[in-house]
Amino acid sequence: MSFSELDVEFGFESPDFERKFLQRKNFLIKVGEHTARILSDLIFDLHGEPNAVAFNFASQYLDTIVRRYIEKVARFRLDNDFDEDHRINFSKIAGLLAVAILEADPETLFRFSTRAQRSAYPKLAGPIFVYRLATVILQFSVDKIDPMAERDLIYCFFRYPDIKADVEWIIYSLRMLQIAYGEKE
Amino acid sequence: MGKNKRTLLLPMDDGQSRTDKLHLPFPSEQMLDGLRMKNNSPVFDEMEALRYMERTDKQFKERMRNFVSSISK
Repeated sequence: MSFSELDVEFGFESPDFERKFLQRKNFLIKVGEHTARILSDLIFDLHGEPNAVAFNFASQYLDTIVRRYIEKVARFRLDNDFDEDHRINFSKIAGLLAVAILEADPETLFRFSTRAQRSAYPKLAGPIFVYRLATVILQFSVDKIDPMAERDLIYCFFRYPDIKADVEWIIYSLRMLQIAYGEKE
Repeated sequence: MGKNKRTLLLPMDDGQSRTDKLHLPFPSEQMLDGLRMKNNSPVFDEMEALRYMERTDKQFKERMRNFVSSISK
């Protein structure tokens, strides 16, 4: 399905789409900049390299990701007979955003210093960004989450291009983590 | 003894009459067509999420430091 067909089916040219698009894009930029700063601080602390990571908020991938996310939400709503006024909740937003980002090339959302570019960090940045998004959306008690569960989840995000799990399984897994480690559960 | 037996049988007699009222018919295979994934947690609040992000900044950094250390071994 082309974007123009999607425009007609999901109202991509409507003012509501524009508002939702900017809202989600700004949210991604805020979490992305936060993730870049945390990685940068970490690299400085561990390796002594200052200002090693920045979030590339001008990346054209960002627009593609948000557009694909909105498309995935619309498809999910259609497939699951959601009423027009029924908004999707935490774990579905986190799962659909995760897939939209991981299907793109999340590495390109970050800029690295020359030294950092030749390390594992560029390949880790995408999975860590998606993990941070999940923790922020689902509001895990960060200190309580089991380190091995955390490591496995980051591993799954890292391997997503090869594994490509169905989004329903990702949503289900995130919901289970929210029940286990959510601040409000 | 006979009286006891009668006592034991009584609930079964009642149960027999309840069966028709409480037991549901088998669901048809077509009913599965209506099985969908539904919402199962509260509505997402973006501003609250961003406040959470600021509040847990240090803890998350520490977690990622431990994660990087664990894979660097």
